[in-house]
Amino acid sequence: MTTLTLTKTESSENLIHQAYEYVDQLLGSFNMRSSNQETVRTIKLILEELIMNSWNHGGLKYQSQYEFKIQLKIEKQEGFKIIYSASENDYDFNIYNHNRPTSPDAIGGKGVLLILNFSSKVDITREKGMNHYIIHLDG
Amino acid sequence: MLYLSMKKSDDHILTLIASGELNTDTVSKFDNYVNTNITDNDHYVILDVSELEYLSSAGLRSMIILMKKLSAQNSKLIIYSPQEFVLRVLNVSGFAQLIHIAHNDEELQSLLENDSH
Repeated sequence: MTTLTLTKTESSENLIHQAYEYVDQLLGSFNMRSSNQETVRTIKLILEELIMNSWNHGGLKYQSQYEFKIQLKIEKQEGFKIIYSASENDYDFNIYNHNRPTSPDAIGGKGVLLILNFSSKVDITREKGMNHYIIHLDG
Repeated sequence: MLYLSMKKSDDHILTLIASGELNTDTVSKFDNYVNTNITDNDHYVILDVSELEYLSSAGLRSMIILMKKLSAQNSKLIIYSPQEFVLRVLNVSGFAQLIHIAHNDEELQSLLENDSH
């Protein structure tokens, strides 16, 4: 597992940037060809939405300092298996109102349902009581 | 990376061209560019996303803010020529039902001609 750590005093953009670099590096090691760009983009979308959901969760924004930590692992085996864990992860999928996406605050960084609906190739599970998600992606 | 440019025409149409990726990492650049360049005289803003390869919910948020801002000044946002990945994000988020999307020049012309401005 690769651990990315950020304190709340930094910007969420930094974390996304780190995560993207990690994904690019890892997928490069899988010898992903240019024809797999859709899969690469889907993995990036899954991770960005999960990270931003975790980041925005709860009352973190009211704390002046907070160490935010995520752990990532991507395995290539009959498609991809992404294991994602965050120090704050108690996210309610229902917050994102799929039927009324007119409020900016209802959408930005709250896209877990977006990825749940994104592709029939994506299967996301969260073990009950566990603080991580396991995502399976055909590719 | 996100690359932005624009074209203004005499008939109150502003075309914003976005290429690359519109995500949490790049969305502040998009917001700043939009806020700097759009004026009350722009009756239509065409967001050309034909070279945009990636869109996340952070980018959707900015598009909704832009749509509401334009609506308040009685202007219209048109998303032009989204690629498959971007179109899928617009569809599954429900955003495609709220906004005008022109897949090609014919549809764009039709949207402009049929509008009451």
